[in-house]
Amino acid sequence: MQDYLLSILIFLPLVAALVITFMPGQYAEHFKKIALGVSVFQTLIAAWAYFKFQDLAGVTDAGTFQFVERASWIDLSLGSLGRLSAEYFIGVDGLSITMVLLSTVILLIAVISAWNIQDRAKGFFSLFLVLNASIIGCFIALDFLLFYLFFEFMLLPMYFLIGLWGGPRREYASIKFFLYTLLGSIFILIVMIALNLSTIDPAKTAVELHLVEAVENVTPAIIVEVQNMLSKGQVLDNQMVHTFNLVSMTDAKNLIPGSILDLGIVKIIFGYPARFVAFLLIFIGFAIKIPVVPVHTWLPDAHVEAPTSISVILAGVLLKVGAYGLLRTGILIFPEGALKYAWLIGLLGVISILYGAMNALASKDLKRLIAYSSVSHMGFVLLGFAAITAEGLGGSIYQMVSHGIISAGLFLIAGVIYDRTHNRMIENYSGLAHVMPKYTVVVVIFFFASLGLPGFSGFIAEIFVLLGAFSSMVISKWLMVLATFGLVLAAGYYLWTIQRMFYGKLHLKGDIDKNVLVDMNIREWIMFIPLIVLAVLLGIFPHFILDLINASVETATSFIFDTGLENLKIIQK
Amino acid sequence: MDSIELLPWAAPTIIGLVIFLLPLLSFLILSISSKSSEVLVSRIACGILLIGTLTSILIAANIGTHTIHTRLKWFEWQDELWTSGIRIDFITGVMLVIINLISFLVHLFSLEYMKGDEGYKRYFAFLGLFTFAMLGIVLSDNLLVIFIFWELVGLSSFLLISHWFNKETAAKAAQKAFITNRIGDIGFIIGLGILWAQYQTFDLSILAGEFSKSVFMGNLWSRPEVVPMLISWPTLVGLGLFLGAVGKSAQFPLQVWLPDAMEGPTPISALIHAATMVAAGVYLLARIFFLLNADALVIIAFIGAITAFMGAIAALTQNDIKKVLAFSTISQLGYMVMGIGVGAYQAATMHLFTHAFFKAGLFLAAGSIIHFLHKANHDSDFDAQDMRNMGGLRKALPITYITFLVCSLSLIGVPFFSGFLTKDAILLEAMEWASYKGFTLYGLIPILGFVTVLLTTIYVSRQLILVFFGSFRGGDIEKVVENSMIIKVVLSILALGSIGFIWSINPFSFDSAWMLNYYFSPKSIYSHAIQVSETVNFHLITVIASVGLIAIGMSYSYRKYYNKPVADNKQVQSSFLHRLSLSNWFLDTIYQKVIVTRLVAVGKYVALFEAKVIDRAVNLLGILVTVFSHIVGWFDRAIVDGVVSITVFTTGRIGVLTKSVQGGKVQQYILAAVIGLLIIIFLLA
Repeated sequence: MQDYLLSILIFLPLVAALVITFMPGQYAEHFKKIALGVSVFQTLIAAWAYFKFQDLAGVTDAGTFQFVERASWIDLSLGSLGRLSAEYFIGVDGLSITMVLLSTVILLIAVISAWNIQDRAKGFFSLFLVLNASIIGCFIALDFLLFYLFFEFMLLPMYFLIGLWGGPRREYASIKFFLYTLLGSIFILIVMIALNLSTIDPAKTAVELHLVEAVENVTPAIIVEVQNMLSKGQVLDNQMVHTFNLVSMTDAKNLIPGSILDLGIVKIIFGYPARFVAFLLIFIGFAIKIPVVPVHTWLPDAHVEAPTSISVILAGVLLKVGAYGLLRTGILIFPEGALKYAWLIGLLGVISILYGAMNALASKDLKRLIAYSSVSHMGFVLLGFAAITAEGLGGSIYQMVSHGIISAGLFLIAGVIYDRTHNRMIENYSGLAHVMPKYTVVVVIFFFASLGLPGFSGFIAEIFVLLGAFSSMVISKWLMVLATFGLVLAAGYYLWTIQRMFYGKLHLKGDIDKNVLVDMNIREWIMFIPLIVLAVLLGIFPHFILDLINASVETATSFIFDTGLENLKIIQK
Repeated sequence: MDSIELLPWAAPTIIGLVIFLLPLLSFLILSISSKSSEVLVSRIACGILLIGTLTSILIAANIGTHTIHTRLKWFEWQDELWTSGIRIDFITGVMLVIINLISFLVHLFSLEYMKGDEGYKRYFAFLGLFTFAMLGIVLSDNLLVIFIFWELVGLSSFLLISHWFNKETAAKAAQKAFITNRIGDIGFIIGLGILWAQYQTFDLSILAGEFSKSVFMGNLWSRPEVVPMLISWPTLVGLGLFLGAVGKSAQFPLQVWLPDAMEGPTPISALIHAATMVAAGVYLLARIFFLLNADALVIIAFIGAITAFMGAIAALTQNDIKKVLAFSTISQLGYMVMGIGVGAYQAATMHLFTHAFFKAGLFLAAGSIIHFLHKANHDSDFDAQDMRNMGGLRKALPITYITFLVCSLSLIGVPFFSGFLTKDAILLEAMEWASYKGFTLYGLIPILGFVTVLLTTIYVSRQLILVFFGSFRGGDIEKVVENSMIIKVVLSILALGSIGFIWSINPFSFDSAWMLNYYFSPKSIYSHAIQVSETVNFHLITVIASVGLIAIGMSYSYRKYYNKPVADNKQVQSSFLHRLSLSNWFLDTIYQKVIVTRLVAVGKYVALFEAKVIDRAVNLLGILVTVFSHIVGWFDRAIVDGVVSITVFTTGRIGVLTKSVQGGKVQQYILAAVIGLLIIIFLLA
């Protein structure tokens, strides 16, 4: 089974989606059980992968990726342009295994939170499963085209899930989400095509050059030989095998001399070296998804209108796809861009932290507040990326996991109150602690976890990012100092919310019936408890995550820094 | 740097671990127990704390001048160990006793005080959580771990202040306390950041060793193998960590949260807001003393002296019995911080110890009074904390009176009481420090210290007179007996701890305090031995000055308040100075107007900017794109038709599918995307 572990993760939900689609409507009660079964199974597989996973580098070294599956997918001749090759190439390293683990857990919780969906259940759960497959696909794809396919494919179910099962302004929110993200995708697409035109797969090119009979026989020496030939211009255009392989793309030796993204012969676009432009394009593309201020405005609307379970996925996993994509296809492929624009990434990160927090402070709707807090917390991920230190990058990944867990809990919290009253306005509540004491306990736990209280995962993540940012060689120390103000603001908006909604005397406005305010039920506890346990566990024992990412982060950091500097020198020459 | 050496368990650290975990056990038991068993379980909690107290005494009695250190691996990251561990020396031992003992006494006191409270179980659970976190601060060997418990102390303080969350004032006070502390924690985190960038460790003993190897060349601070930093950074480390202490120990300008925190139950005020949590800042300063340089120390000394003075001024006019004590706590913490600043390490830490006893005693005695008045007068308008409703209580509450008196005399610093020993030692060293550094500017610090002695005497005497002398002003009260035996015993223990002989054989000489044989001022690379002038006997001057000021203060209060009618509020409040004192220097108003209101306003502006500018721009862009795609669509149908007819057909089908949801925008967008893709391919190829 190990050989097809990751494929099972992707195709199981797809098969289940098909099954649900073709099941007659009278079995509607079983759709959610199928979705639940898939998620439970996926979580078990992910857990198994967790224990099998070894702390190896991956990142730029194709040999140390784990659970790798590789098959030819698209292989067509472009005539004089050589060959185009896209592969079904999947595998995980430290950067992605954490995301896969997070996704399976959050998706499982999301299924449970969707348990009461009655309306068009067939459509909901089949779209849900398609979404599931494409999210996992994004995290394990090592071929850019494959990644892009999954990345784009996420839009479709997401669009319908918000647009059909959302709140009153769902149409506006869903089209906004769709267009925004699609705009980002276009930028990514441009860079992807440029990369494909500029990069060769040395192993397959070796076959074209008749250096070896088959790809299986390629040795490292032959790769070096091909790369040498390439740099000397001895490989003819029609012998080149253009690749989408994300690992090959990290190696500048695979760049075709004179191609659009070549390092040596710098192409200038709009007055900037093409590689810088490409990096910025890909940064903007993923910045929309993360989201980074000022391209974040789809997020609050999408969250406010989305049904609870979709909000959970959106905040818990989808935002991480953006950050992960930026790392895998942006920073690692264009390390010189990451170095050159570290100040910009860091600055936008800090702006997101503070701007998101200020907006949260001003939010009147509980869910909108939580959505803005997501913007604020994802800012830490960017700041950690910008630091280019092991603590910064490690902290970013930790923050992605931690925010996934905690924000899922926060949106479930908003869902609990909305389920009962269909009203999320903060000003309409006061003294909820009297009627819903258990709910209040959960709210206090998640609010404090989210504001970075030690003992919860968020603290480890944020302190790592801050330490990394402060000791960074590439960004100003003031960015870290500014970022710490985000911690105060977070305490401000969360505690103010507790004080307004939960403390004081019981008082309800906006036609809310006191009798609907029943405390938490079993199903809700089942959703919250695993999240609380995870947040606390990762807050006290960071090695559960750090031991997975240690080698990958080390490799990635030194690669980005060293190769980035090298490339910068070449470009600026 | 060499990788960090792990240190094995030793008997004292194992016992330390047990002491540390006991209150957590209490918290867990209370959290999972049922409401019906709450009385039993809270008694178990008392028992747990008693065990902790006795074991702590065992440790403190045996530790002597040793330092026992156990360091364990926490996790590994990038081939470096991140450690955490337990480090016990004499100061830790004394802190363990103080935290456990006072927590135990507060537990006992609360059995009676909180009887019948709706949140009885929750209250005791959070007491356990607090004690656990506080013990974590004193036992940790590592600044990062200290910070973790530091924040958990903040959390438990939040939870306990908001115990009666029904009251809006309590809810707001809890929020204010946490956020103000967080502002201080910014400094703490920045300090951690600087230390990390320079040393890659937070272990205090390693830092102490490494710090002594620091090289200061020109304007650079460097160590072998490390990128040098500007010389101002080590000052900033000290000031950053000090800012953390400013928050926690309620120093100027962050002292505003402490008076509000009196909204919590009174035993909480005794434990958290007098004896332990607020002392954590001073404790931290003692722990990081080795890295405080001369610049940082001067600032610390000034902040401490200013806080001592401001707190004492504010305490002069308060009417709420707890508010007087709260401002007095701020003032006394100011003394401790000032002591650290002038290098009076031993005196400052010992004042922390003595203060813990007499201030906890005062708060619990106040609690006893409040409890008594609540039992005696059931009138809902009756404010049992307002001293204007008290008077003559020495007859009704004799034990409370005696203990309150003893603790008050200690607070004033009357000879033969513990406060005299330690406060005068701080003042003495402040004098010596100022004479060494030059009296013109630095003399301000001992002067503020002495003025505060006078002010302290006045407000404490006023409080004694208003509460215990004269006749009762609280209207008709039912005939009730003084509080139960438990309360009397608890108060007596704390009063006993405020007697000078407990701390020093010779109650006139701080230098003969027995504790001083067991711990010493740590060596700092910055500290220069202060050359004390031989010709001036500062010791004598200090004693005479402070005793003289106490005498003046007492006679002033006696004349002003004894057997005088309680002044009508409106009449006095018109005076500016009175209002200045009553409102704690208008700090709340200023902060509210200058910071809070503006911050909320900025939040609103930002939200407005978001809606009116960014979102509107996005929507406009959306419209433009739609229009553009219509044009492109027409262009496509009319001209490029042949090339992409298949694509149009396909997207058209998708469009039909989605049309029910959307007015065809998606269709056009996909179309535009496909065309864009084709254009790109053509261009790039």
